[in-house]
Amino acid sequence: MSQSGLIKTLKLRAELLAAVRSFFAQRSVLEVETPVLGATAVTDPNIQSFVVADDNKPPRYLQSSPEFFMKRLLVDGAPDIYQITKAFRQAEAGARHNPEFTLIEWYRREFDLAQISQETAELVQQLLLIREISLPIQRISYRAACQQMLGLDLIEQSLQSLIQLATKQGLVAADKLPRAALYDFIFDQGVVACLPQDVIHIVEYYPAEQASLAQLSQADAQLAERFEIFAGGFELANGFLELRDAEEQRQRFQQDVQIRSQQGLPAVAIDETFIAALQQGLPACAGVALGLDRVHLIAAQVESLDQLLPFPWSAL
Amino acid sequence: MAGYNTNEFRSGLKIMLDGDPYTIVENILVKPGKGQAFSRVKIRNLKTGRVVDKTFKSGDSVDAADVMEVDMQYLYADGEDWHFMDQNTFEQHAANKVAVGDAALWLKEQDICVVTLYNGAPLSIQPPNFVELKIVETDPGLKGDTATGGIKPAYLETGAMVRVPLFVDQGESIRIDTRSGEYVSRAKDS
Repeated sequence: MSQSGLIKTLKLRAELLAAVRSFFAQRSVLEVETPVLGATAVTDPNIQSFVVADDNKPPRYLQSSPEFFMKRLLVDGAPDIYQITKAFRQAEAGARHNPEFTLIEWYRREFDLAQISQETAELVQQLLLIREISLPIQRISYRAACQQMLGLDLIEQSLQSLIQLATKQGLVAADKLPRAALYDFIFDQGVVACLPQDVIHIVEYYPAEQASLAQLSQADAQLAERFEIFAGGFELANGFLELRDAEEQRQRFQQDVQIRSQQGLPAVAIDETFIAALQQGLPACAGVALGLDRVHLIAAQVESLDQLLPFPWSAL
Repeated sequence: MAGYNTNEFRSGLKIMLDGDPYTIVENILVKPGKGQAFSRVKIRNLKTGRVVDKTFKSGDSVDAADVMEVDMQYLYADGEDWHFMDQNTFEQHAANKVAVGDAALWLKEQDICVVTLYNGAPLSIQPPNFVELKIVETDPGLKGDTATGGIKPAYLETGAMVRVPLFVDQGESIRIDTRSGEYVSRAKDS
């Protein structure tokens, strides 16, 4: 990176961080810190955590997200909170992925999905204004986005027709994948790729198979109270109306553990301290994680993290 | 047969898909924050040359294609096959019409070509980027006409037709860019 390029990227980063802090200060959301090295890792089979040796004690895990620690703070009585933290995920390296990346994560008590997604879109909008990039916000449901871009409702399709659709779009061995993974592929290929890049899109109400840590919708059990933000042609944020039912959460984790063993992935123990916190009672809240590096990409108007990060993963 | 995991994917890797050998042109990681990771690749079919977009689930394995690219000297054509020699092993390989394809237009004896071997047999031939070939037929040259920019067709010793400037004459050798099939200059020692 040239000296002027380096100074430009460092300055923009500093401005983005300052803008995030001022955004939350204005809204009385408290900045917090939580451990980056935890005693457990997420069970999600799609996320592989880094394992860190600790002398002759049990290993520690670099956190792939501060979610569980932040929810434990909420259980213990913390007010609305946010944090800017490094998160770590193995094997995720590419133009828009770095195994070590910066997340802005926050939780708002008593917010519903519409409020948290609106707030996220507004934060993205304000951050991009630093570089005088002014993008409008548009809200669309997952179903309507599929209907618009693919001409069909993915959620109503049989597994067989999802497999056919994915195969037609070039997915190899589509018949070996579950619904959730087929949704991921078809949605990315057929919907995200077609969304206008100069709009901040809120896509809300994902299929129930992709609920992750979200509640299922009261109105329609096929849907999860989950949203994502897209701009510039890629995903910027993912948020939930948070699941508070400890028993259902345990079942989802157990399912993860089972899939891990079927797929031959490293075994991960369920985070019992997190389940215990949910049993104690998580206040009604909505939460979201926003990738700061992705926002930085759009603000700097570059294509790849290699052009943005002073120390990209591939060149450490 | 040896295989590759998607995390080993990189451009130039040779893989098998649906019974055909392919080379990876480009590999992109696609991964939602929550959800399945994929490798989205552009791959070129080494038999047909066609480039297609395919996506593999991350962690999946594919068979490796037994494909090698070897520099070989073009020896001669016998009317049916084109014969090449590996200059390290002196081993000779015969390439048929399908493998040679349009490269036949640019093959000159003793030139060094890249021969792609699939399961040990020539699959495709890549001629040198620049070749020098003799003009066997063209309209008489207009001496000194280097300024008007006019062109005319010229037929080469290999049967190829290229467009050349008006001042170039029959019997001369010219330099051609085989990637575009275009005239570059007169050959140095013609």
